[in-house]
Amino acid sequence: MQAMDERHLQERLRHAAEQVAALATAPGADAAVRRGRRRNRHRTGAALLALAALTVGALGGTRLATAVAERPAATAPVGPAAVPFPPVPVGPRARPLGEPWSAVRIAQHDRHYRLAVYWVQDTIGSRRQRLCIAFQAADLPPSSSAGLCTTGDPRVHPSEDPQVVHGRIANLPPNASTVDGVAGRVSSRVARVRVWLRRGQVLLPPVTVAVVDGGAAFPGRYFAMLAPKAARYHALDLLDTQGRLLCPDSSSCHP
Amino acid sequence: MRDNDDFDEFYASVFPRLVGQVFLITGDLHDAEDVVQEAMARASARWARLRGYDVPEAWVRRVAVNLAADLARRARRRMAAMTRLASIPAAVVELPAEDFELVAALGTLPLPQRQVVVLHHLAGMPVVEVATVLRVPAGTVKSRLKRARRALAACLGEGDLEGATSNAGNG
Repeated sequence: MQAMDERHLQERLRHAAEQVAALATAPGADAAVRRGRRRNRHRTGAALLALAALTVGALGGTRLATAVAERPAATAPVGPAAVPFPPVPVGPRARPLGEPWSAVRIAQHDRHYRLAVYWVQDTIGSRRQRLCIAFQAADLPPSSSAGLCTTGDPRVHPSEDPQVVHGRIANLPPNASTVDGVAGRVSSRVARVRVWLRRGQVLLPPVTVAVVDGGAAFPGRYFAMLAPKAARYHALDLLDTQGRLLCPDSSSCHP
Repeated sequence: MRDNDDFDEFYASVFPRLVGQVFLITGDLHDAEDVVQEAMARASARWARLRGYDVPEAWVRRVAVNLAADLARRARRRMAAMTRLASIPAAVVELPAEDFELVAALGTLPLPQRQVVVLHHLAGMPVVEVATVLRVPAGTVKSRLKRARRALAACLGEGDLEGATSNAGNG
């Protein structure tokens, strides 16, 4: 009787575990290997950073970087970054989908930023997905990275409409506690994006931003930029390779 | 041929099974997947050594179970802060009613009891081995098992679970 009871518990546990195992999504052995390598690199990097911090401290300290320039410049994609991108907080109980942290580099504010685009599964109450964009200044430590995500209920696979995320990014560059980031995903027809910003009620001259391929890890085309201080996102124009406006009514495309 | 070819096979055969086991500890599929993937990542970095083990899966399971415990502790702290702002429903996983009932019953147990139930009754580890993995005395494992079975029996309306103890598992 006792053994049978135990078998019953074991069978129920096994059955439940098998049901869940069938639902499991395996990112793959390659992803695990990459994650393991990245983890090792981060550990090595952290040790080096600690050593560097000690060295800097011993020398009396040095400011790491200059303030962000006031005037924004168009992003210039310079190809995939070889350096792995550090994890960026995406909120409690959310997780990146697929293998994240593939990155492209953008040049703006007289320095290079790495940009990672990723989807997160929002496990808070639903299977909703969110688009997140993360920035990191290439010459700063991983701890200076910052990200922003869509809120609400964005379309997961937009066909034509841009999917824009914009918001305040804290702690990105030193001496600029907050800047606005504007980023998003656009359809394959879009070659460039003209971003309109405003400061208060004043519309600023638009900034044209190149669209970059997300690569194999992020099928899709993306743009990203950092706004000057106190400037906020207003609207987008989507342009094709000829520079023609893609929006049917020839007005700004509001997301 | 890549050095890690057998790791690929190992991964494919073990990942879903471990996710099923860890899920019964975490109660969250995404957390379980992430924890097992992290354990697999660590295994890949040590694969040259682990591949020589009799049961490399046991090493990965141990890491995953410990990671799940860390995650649960962090989540508890986070939830304490978050519940001040809003209530957060659990992740939705569609399971047959009987399994859902079991998962819900397991969810009422404290983490240490869920761990011993899963490791002993599902993974089939002897009590002594469970004690080694969790770094507690074997007697503690036995008492946790007893309390867990009593609580499960009460939740599931199956009083006969209470007396179930594996003779083989007491070693």
